[in-house]
Amino acid sequence: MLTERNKVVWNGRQRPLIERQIASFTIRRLRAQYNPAVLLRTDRASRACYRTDGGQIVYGFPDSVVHAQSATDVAETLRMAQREHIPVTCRGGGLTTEGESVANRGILLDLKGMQRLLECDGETAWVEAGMTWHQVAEALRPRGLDYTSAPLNMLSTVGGTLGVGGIDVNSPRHGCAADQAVELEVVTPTGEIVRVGEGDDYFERVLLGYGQFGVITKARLKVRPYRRMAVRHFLYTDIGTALNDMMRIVEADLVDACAVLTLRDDVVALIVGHEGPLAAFPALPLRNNAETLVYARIAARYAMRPWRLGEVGFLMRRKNELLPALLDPMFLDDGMVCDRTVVFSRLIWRYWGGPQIVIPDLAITRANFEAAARRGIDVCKRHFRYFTLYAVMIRKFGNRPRYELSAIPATPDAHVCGIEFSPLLEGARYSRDHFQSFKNAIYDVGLDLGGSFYRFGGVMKPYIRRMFGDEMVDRHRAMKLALDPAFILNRDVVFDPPEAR
Amino acid sequence: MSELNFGDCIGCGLCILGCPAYEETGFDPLTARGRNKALQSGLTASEMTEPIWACTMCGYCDAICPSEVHNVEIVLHLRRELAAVAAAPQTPSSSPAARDIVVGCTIRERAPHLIPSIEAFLARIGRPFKAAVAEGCCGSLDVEAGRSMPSRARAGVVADPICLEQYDAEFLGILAMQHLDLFDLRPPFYYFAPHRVVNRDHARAYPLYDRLRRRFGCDMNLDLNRLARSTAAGSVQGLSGEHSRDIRAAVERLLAHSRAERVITCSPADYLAFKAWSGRETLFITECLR
Repeated sequence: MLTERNKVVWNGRQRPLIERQIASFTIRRLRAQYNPAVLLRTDRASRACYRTDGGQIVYGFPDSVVHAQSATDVAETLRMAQREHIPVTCRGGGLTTEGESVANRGILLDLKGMQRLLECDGETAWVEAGMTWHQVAEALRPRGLDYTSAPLNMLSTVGGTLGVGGIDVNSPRHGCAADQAVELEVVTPTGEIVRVGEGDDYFERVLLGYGQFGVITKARLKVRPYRRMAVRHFLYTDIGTALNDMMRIVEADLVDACAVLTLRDDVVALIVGHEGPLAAFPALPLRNNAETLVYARIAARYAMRPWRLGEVGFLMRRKNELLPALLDPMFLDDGMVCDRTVVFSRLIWRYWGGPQIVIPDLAITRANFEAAARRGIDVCKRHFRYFTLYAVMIRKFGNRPRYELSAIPATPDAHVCGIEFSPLLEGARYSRDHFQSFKNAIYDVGLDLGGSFYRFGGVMKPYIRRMFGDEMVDRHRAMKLALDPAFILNRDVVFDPPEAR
Repeated sequence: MSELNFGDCIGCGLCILGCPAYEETGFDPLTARGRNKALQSGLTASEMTEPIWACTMCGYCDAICPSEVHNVEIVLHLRRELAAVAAAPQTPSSSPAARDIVVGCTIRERAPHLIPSIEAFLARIGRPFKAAVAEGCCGSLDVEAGRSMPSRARAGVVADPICLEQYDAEFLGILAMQHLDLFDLRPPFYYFAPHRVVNRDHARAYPLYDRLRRRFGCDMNLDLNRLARSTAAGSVQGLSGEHSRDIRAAVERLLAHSRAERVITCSPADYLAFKAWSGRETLFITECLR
């Protein structure tokens, strides 16, 4: 609630205190609390580093950066922020695409200083939440172990991933990364350090909680023996056939990993992983097409549309770049990919990265998977010349409370189906309005087909009530307010702040 | 700065994965991504002294960058801006072309006992040249500190990777990897591959060091990206003592998961660092000559 005490005149307008710059006395208090050489930065070079996120569409400049190295640092920061009504934006890998980890004023709380594996008993690993998945893999590999399921982007941190989900190519069997956590250390928005585990309500709220209910500082994750993966791809001329084949082999549990990846809708590839030698790759009941047929169809299609021949050049260039990169001998051993995340992550950034990244995605039921893909492709074609679609399946474990208001819809299905729609800009620049129009059109497809969204940040907020209904959103917002009375933690990501109502 | 492509940085952060400054601090602004984002925000060299001096020139960021940003070149340029240096190359204090082997200041001044074994190795492979006793400083530290431009002189063999900043020459460690049968390399041991060479000349150097790893099953400082992790020992900071990172902590991090009692390397500064901080027997590669 606004009072005279927390209002300030800024540019001639009344602004709530929470949006003003951090007062100098607060900076002084933070300095007194922290070693300024390491933990608190207010110099421009340190702040400029955090000016944008992976999407590079939203920009901001925090007043200060707290570089937390322990849960106590996080707790101190949150207590002070709660007292002074200072917004705190958490940041790990900084790979959000809608500005969720970009601070426009307030404190940017960088958690990457917490990057140690603390203990490992062979079945679980107790890690600090600022570890990137690359660091987790590096620490586990000498023990002959690997994480179970993590994002294909090795730069993501453990804490950020558990807050949003984390999808791997093996998620059809193991579920999302958030489902690999069995215990957490969390700092509440009011600065209490708590340890919670399976069965605790707070544990369920923090997982897939989009950073709204607390800051994860440590996590106990399931781990498993490290295995190499043989990877094959099968081409299709029709997206529906590919998706249906993926659903069939996932439901029959025939493969260790799989995903569908397209270039426009011209080349549709079902990528399948088997954790074992290529010679033992399982026979799969697939209805894929011969490569020659796929390329002949492409040739025929573009022969009838010679004004679009440039697209053939694009397809050929991508094919010639991607396949050798996927099977780079440096990462192969006996024909098997040694480090799938390293290979895929570097592929993603080299061939999908760019100065602007927009990846609207839908989480959809099995019944509407194909329809969502087809309608999404139509949206892509209306907005961009080149695009790619990445479709995966994610195993669900019953209807856990953590799935509420998340990308895992509450349906009886054993899996949820996810689709990312990524424009490939190929050097072209587009306005924010154009990107916004594209995202809205994709989200409208999800709304129409009863899906959910993987990302909630920024512009997604208007869709949350339409997707989940007022009752659920109000219930979660009430939980947020109870835990975070000053509404300081990662505000504006999911819920409207109090002064906006 | 217009010729420097920091504007191409897309902020993916792959560069931080093996950045020694990041490994030590976990602090983004000290990495290539941090510097590039600061430059994209219009900051000048004088506002970025700490990030500029955090770089140890290991070359990890250049090798992994999907946008092919020339991060090392950017740092060198910023250091020259800080030092306000005119773009004049500093040639080595003695003529390098006349000599076949440059052992470098670190070996000459801090580990001269290695010189006989280096000469013996070169003789065994048919390169029987002697290290010049009066060899002067090649000026690579000044180049790396931004106090002068590189001269790119020619020499036959260079024993210290940092001298490759000044010379076009073969590197002793690479020659050693090409003649593994000459060495007594009984496992288990930990091999510290010279990060400058592996990361900056990856296509040529990595397969040689990988072959060593596969043949002997030794632990190494190669990460999952097949790039070399480093200590700051062989950098201008480590060698001059200014702005230095915590070398002891880096040595401990690198050896954290290795049970090998013996460390072998072909990087002279790292040889001294491991000797000082690892608590394990440490050998320069030519000391393993059969």
